[in-house]
Amino acid sequence: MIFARKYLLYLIIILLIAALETFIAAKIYPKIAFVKNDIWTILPSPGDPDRNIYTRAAVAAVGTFASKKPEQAYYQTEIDIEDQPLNGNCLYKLSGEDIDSRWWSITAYANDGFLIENTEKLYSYNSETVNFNANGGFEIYFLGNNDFITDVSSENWLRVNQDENFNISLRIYYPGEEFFSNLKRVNLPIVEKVKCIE
Amino acid sequence: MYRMRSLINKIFILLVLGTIVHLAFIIYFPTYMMWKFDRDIASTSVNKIIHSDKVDSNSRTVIRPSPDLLYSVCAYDATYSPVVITSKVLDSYWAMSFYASNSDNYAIINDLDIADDDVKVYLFGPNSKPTKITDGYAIFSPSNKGAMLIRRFLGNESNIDELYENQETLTCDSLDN
Repeated sequence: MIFARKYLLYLIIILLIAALETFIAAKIYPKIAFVKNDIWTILPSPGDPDRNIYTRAAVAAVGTFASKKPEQAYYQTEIDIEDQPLNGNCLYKLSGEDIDSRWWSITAYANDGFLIENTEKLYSYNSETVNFNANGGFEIYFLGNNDFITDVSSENWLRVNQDENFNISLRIYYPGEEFFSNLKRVNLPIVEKVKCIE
Repeated sequence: MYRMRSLINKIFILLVLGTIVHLAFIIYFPTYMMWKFDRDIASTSVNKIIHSDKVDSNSRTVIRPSPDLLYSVCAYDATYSPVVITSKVLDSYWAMSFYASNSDNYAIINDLDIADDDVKVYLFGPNSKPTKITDGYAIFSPSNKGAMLIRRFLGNESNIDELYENQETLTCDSLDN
């Protein structure tokens, strides 16, 4: 009995070490593997068969069916240009220019990684649905409160959940091989806070 | 001294075993997620197509679904026979992606790669004997089981009927059938 208890203790210690190493890897890995481009982060080769075991596990945890290069570049952000988390209590403006690619889209997700419920059933804008301004650029607003509507100076706006953080994905399809060698520096939209609930 | 060395040995062995368990978890986690997807979506539908409607806030099958795409998926099993996939191809963005059991995206064919209006793909498992293919693409899966996913760009949805019709042209079946 004492013998069995001793080995049970060893088993628990082994599992605790494994859990601790996994926790540390989950904390450190994003800092090493993700390429940062201003507020946006991207895994350079999320679906490639030659990706390392940590990339494969990280992708499986958040997306499962990631594409290999050069099909898609998949950026995401949880912060604005002041490095503050995106939160539904504030109004945000995303500003950018058309992205050279077959098509691109910008989608808002709730903290759990799923689309945000809204009566308009509008979850994203893509290169065909976004309304470009006279300069060829575009703006998309993210709002969690109807009081902000008067501050929205664009036809492009997406609903987010009030009181909750959210994140934004930028999918770019077929941007070309050169794009992937320049992931840190390509010109991407910026997200700035307009105002928050008092 | 002996006790000290014994304790250090024990700690070292526990650390090594803990690291092995950690690495095993990291390596097999993607396979578990693919297995879970198969179980949730396709457990009764191996080598059968499942079409999704436009995704919305109630869609919970995959994390971070794209609302700009119309998906179809086939959870394939090429253990005993190659799988044959056929479909009409769209003029707009249309891509057929192949995922191994560990979730690696080992092959993609999209509308730009295909000159014809139709495509036929022979999907061979790792134990299949390759045969000469003259009427389609030959794709070699590194695992017997996996998933084939089709993405169709919805754009401004002006051709959404065509996209739904395209779903209906898709077949995914064992070559023996």
